[in-house]
Amino acid sequence: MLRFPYRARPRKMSRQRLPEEGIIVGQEGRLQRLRQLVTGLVRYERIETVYQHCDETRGYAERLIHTAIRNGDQHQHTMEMADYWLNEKDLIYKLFDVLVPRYQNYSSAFTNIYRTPIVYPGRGTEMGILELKGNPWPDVLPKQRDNRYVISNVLLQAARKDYNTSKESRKTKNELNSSSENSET
Amino acid sequence: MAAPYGMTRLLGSFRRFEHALFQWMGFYPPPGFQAELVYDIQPVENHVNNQQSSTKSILQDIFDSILLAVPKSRRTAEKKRTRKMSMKGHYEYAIPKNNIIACLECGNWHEKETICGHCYQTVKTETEEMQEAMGLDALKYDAPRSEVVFLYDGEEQERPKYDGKYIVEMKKQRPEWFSKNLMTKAHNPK
Amino acid sequence: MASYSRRILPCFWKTTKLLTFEDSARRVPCRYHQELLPTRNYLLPETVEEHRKSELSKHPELPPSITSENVPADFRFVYPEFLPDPQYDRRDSIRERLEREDMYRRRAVIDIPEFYVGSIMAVTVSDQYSPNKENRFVGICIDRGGVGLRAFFILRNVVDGQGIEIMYEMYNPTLQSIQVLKLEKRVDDKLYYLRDAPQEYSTFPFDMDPIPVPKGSTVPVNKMKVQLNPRPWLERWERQDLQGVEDLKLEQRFYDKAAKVAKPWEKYDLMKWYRENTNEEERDSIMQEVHQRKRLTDIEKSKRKTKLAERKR
Repeated sequence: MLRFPYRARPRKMSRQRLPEEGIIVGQEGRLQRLRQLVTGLVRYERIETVYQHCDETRGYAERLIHTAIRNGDQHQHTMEMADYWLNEKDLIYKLFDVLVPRYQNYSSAFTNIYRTPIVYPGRGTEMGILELKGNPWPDVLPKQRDNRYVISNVLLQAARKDYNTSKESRKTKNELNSSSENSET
Repeated sequence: MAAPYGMTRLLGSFRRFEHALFQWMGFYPPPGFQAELVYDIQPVENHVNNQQSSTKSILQDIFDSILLAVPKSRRTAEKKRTRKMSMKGHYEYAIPKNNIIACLECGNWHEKETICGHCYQTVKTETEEMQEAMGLDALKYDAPRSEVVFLYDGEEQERPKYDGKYIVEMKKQRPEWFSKNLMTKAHNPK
Repeated sequence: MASYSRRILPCFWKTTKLLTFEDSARRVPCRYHQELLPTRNYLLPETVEEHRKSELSKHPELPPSITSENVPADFRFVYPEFLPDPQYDRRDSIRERLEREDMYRRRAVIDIPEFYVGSIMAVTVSDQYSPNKENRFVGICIDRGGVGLRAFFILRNVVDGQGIEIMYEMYNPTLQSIQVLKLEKRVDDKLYYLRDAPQEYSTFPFDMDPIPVPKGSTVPVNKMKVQLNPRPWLERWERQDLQGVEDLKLEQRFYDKAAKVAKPWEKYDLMKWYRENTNEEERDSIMQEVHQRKRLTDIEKSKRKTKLAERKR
């Protein structure tokens, strides 16, 4: 099961210009392009391309890894898929020896996707980064700082605590009042 | 073929010129030649509107492809305005972007949904150095069959911890923003 | 920043609903806005679930002793109509639950046996115009499909030289009995090519004796190859990947055109198959439920049998 939001319908992505095969039109072209991206992702563990293409490959990469985890490397169908989706055959070893043990016990998605800023001047293409989790490279996002002890947060926490304790005391007061009213009537 | 009459006259005249030229150069026999012809050539002098001709000049080939694609009917003013005034390519550039925020780390501006380009650039340069240290062979042609671990200067004592993994030595100090803890496997990440 | 983007790009010219992780089992088609659907008198399951105060309860009579461990792996092939609709736009969680309840109740009354495409079956239907108010038909199952109470199968036979196909709905209350005379599988999923084959391949006698199959044995696969009649055909069989058909002996141009028109990349399209089929967790949970209810009905049936035996004595 895919553990990230995915579109109900696939993107068309037809008419792809591929470096070796040339221009391929239609669904075949789309799959060839996605093959390249999946191969690149498995090899470099982080790729930068058009954001929409990143989103498309995400599903395919995760399904491939999920199939490999579920069936192992002796399963004929899995080997066929790995052979098709990974253009460079040394990556098939990587898939079963590195990625499957890495993602064996994951309860979340295996990939992360980010948007990179649009480069101006230019065509305004929305680019994105797709990466496999657990890769050896430094994080894309800077580590979030601990702002628990920033003065504004300290004050807010204190205020929140005060409000909660007063709310409880108000609640118990109301209960006592209502019970006393009941007993009176 | 919906070719305008003027264009066909032009084509016809060009074809006649071409035919005459080739005749002079010796490619085609003269018009009165009665011997067996290798090529089936119709005499061009008979018809100007030579649509049935089997010989096709180069120019006609070019014009054929252009003339086939032609608008069938006039685009209405409504449709023209709809396309012109639509959001895409017109209004979208006029709407101000209210989603520009400053990165908490470096202070550079970026859109809210994107990552900070400046911070990512440092990450990218470091990644490229790491890839160089890994070597072209291991990176592009023969991917290692175990997890890749990078050890910087002063981290030699951790080598036995990563026994069985593909260790790459980086000949520099670990950058401050690159935390060491990321090298271990994340258990049950969210 | 979240590890995955939940934000939808503000598209003014295209609208696509990006689904969240929680409702990834249910998908809305790209074309429709959230706002458009209520005008069609339609409540999204998400909206219903938001207002639910208590959980959808399980069947009240199910005793806690019946557990559903060790569900056989091929359960989903024996009871495929219980699996949810592959077309997610048509799905409704409450309707599915109610349908499954009705299906269990029907199965408690009538025995719908295990069958596959290629099995020879005898079906008795109640018919008000026949003398004994019954109508029995025997035939080979050429297709099986449908979801929930709309599950169907098609039987084919040749009667007096005329090929006849009848589609039966499995949960139709007018169906009196379904009997499998010969349990076997064929090499293809659908046997529509029998329409273009000689009639001998589709003829089965009405007084055929049932061939018993020992319990626990694997279903035999009949690998016979059918020889088709010469062209013209009802479909372009050379363009379909049929395993159970002999060499079609056509001119090369047909095979060339088939190769030109073929889409060999489709079988590698992982996301396409994922979108079209149900995911494994849902399938497993439903099959567990089916297994539990089956055990319950089996227990009740055996109780009834022992009661009858006692009464006879």
